[in-house]
Amino acid sequence: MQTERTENPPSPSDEALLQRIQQKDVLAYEQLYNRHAPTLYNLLMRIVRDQQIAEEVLQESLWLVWQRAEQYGGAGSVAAWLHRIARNRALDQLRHQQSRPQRRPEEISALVAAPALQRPSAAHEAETAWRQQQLYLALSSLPVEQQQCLELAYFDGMSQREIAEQTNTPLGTIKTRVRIGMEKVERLLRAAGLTERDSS
Amino acid sequence: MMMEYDLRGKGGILKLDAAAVQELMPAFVLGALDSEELMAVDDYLQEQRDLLARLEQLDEVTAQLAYVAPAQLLASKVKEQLLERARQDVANSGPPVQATNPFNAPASTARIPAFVTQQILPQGNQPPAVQPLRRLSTRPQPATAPARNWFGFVARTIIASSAAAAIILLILSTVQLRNKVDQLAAQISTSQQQVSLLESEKSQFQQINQQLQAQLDADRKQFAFYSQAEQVVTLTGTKDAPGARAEMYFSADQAQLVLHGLPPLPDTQTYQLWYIPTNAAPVPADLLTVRPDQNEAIALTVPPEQRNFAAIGITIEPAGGSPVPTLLVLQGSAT
Repeated sequence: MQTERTENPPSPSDEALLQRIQQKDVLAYEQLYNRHAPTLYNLLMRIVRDQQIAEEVLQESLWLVWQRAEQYGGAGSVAAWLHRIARNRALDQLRHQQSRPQRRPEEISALVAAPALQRPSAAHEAETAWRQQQLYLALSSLPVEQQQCLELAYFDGMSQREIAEQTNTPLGTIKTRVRIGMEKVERLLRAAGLTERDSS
Repeated sequence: MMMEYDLRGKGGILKLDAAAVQELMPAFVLGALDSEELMAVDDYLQEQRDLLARLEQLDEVTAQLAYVAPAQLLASKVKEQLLERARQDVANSGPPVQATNPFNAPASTARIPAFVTQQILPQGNQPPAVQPLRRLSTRPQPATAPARNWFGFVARTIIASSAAAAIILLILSTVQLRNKVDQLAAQISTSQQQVSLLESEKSQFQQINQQLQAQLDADRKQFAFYSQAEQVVTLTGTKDAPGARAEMYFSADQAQLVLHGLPPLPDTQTYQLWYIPTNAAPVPADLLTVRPDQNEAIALTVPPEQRNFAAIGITIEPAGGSPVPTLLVLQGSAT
């Protein structure tokens, strides 16, 4: 007896969703939101450390995507484009407030903090959890000083000079740590297959 | 050790070669460069496209760092508000493009453009192009129809069904054209809004660029003064200010005093500069104000009679200054 096999259709790629969003497809917009908003929100909360501000910046960033989806030029992944938009807006907000919390060196936590390993919420896909695991392995292999430099630069928007002043370390040393740290992360992520552009 | 580079061209403008830009690119994608280095790298990438692929690779790596941020609970209202805003935007811009997932569309309707089925079909109905033919072909024949009228009946059936199909095609085309016009009108409106937003952004960027340029010019002038100074005196902190230091650059009757690590004082106190001649009492000079969390660079005019000092000191005095020094915090010798 023949039986019909039904297979779930493949999820549309991020690029396909953006094309549909250009046509003002609200369902595609919702799919993009479901896929990326949790990660973006985590990033924004880490930068601005304020729930209300993080929610506002998230809305502003994703509204910009709705209005200007055509500006994704295809260079790099859609996720990288979204992260860049959100991070830049969050850092602008931080500078506008001019109230970046100053932390003593001993308070700067390592980039690989325990909460990053929390079990994913219902909204997170399994792939995101796997990605976090690979990142943890990559970053934990870096010396703590390099992790700290990357954290201060990426999440706190500090320049190398500001990092040097905050950590009381020569500027040349900070420059070397940033460069070598990023190059190591790149090699490890490439080995884990995380720097290929994802199709969905 | 990081390779040293300084390829300043005429006017002190930093110019970088490919090797230097490669070394700075990780910090560039992180946004961790100073303004001068940032502009130099950006200038290079604008003129030389050979490193753009590398830039894209590093951008992807940077994007991954977002996944390291600790997990947070995102309120559902954020999504609801955003989607409602999008729906209103669609409603205000023109006929909404109802979202359909082409992967889930039933096979019969998937062959017909979605906007057609949504405009003229209630949900769940079959395409109308099929029904009229079936209805006509199954119309019951008269029980007593004479045989000689059979060809006429077939002809009338074909003509009627062709006419119906033509009418339906005409309706479909009209609806399609109407929707296309509406979409184009919506796109024009959106484009106009985007142009307006872009113009506003352009104005903001121009303003920022002017501010950055002014700051850069000021920095260049200051650096030129330092590099051409006739005399430089280094001051070190006393036991009352062990973390403080300063440099004083002299050129003719002008001086630049650069202070590091001096905390701001309350309104009842002030810092005061002293020129200390050989075998004579210190001569009071300028009162100095220090702002919080900033290294101060203060331009001063040096009286000619004080130019041959043996040492320089900075003290803490009551507001308004003092004729004699009270608490010495920084001192430096002219030799």
